[in-house]
Amino acid sequence: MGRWIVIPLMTFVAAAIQVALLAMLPVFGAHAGLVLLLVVAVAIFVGPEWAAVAGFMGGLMLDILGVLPLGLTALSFTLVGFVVGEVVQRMDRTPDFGFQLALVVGASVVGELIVLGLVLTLGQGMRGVTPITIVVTAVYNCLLAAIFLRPLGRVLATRGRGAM
Amino acid sequence: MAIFHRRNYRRRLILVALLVGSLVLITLDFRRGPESSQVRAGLLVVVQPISAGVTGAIRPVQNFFGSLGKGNHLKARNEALQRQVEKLQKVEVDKKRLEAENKDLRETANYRGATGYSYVTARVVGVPATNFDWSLTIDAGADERVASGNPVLAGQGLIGRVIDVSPRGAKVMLLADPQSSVGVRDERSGVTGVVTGQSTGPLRLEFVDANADVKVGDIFVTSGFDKSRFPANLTVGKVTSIEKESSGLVLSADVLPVEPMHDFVSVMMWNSNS
Repeated sequence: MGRWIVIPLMTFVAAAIQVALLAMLPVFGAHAGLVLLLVVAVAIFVGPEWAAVAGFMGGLMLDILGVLPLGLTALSFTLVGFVVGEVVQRMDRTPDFGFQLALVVGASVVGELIVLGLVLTLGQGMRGVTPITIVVTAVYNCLLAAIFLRPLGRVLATRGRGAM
Repeated sequence: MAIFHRRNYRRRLILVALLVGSLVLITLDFRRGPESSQVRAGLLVVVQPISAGVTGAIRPVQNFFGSLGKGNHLKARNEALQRQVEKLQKVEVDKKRLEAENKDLRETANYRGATGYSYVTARVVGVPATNFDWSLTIDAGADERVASGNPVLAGQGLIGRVIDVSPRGAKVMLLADPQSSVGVRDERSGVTGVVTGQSTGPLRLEFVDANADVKVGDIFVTSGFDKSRFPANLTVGKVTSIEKESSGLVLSADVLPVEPMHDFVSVMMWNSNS
């Protein structure tokens, strides 16, 4: 199976699991971001353009299943995926695991801040998101990454072949 | 070198296309407000079955995580529900008697009647999945005649309204959403106001005169005024604290919903098509 099938499929499944399962496990009001984790994994193991595509699709699916204006999370995840992919591509080799986790934390914080900025711009207030929520989300995503990032990387490296 | 530049150009082109696509979607959707836009409704038709399929597949895991740490709560809930069933059985007997009486009286008075409501029971298949989201997804949709704007009830109270509908599912904006507002009336004193969502905290009662007769413990119900989204007398919540605004002209109050927002396994919906 090529990337054209594997990455969209994984993105849809990640979004559905985030909505159906991880949504039931908030920690101090913070929700885990499996879709964002997948976007970062694609950025690290595949490349920035595919990360942007995965970010757009995954973000759009979360927007459709939520109440935020369509395209808001998609915009945030597209940017985050692309930037993380660019950072990784400027390195000569695949970053070590510690740096990968740091990328997940950074992507979580930046992703949440972009959505928050857009939500504030559209006059919808903070929607209950506080600095603590953003920090807890980043830590939560980091823990998820410690478990799932390597398996995701293996799948993407072996199944996600083929050029865009 | 030329190949490198071409790849870089293509990469940026993809990014720009996706960003422009996102901005177009935001613009189109935001202009329509939270109620269903054509674009959103169309996309929900595609996405909802995928989400429902995954939800069905992982239902046992979902149930396990959903019940973690809720042993005592479930026991108490079970007892409360048993009491409620007994009470409802008595109500059912009364209802049948009153329906028969009502029918006789309507026939006698030749009364045609006004629009009523019917209930559709639905299962909650999705709860808020991001930090910015205050919505539920339910497994009843247009096939069950659920329509955008229908009030959604859980247990004794109003919890939100339908904002998007696909054939077999619908999205519910919770009262906690900051964009949600409901016209309400104090059940005891008749004082009216507007309750708005505050995300994580209790609901906020506003637009009430500073000298109005509102007390802690008062129950607020939907006002059901003309052009209101909701019928009258649906329970919204109980007043937990009251404070006067600095101007001294109006008061505001915290209103706690009668049902917790995230513990539902089913909701009841009112259709205005009966």
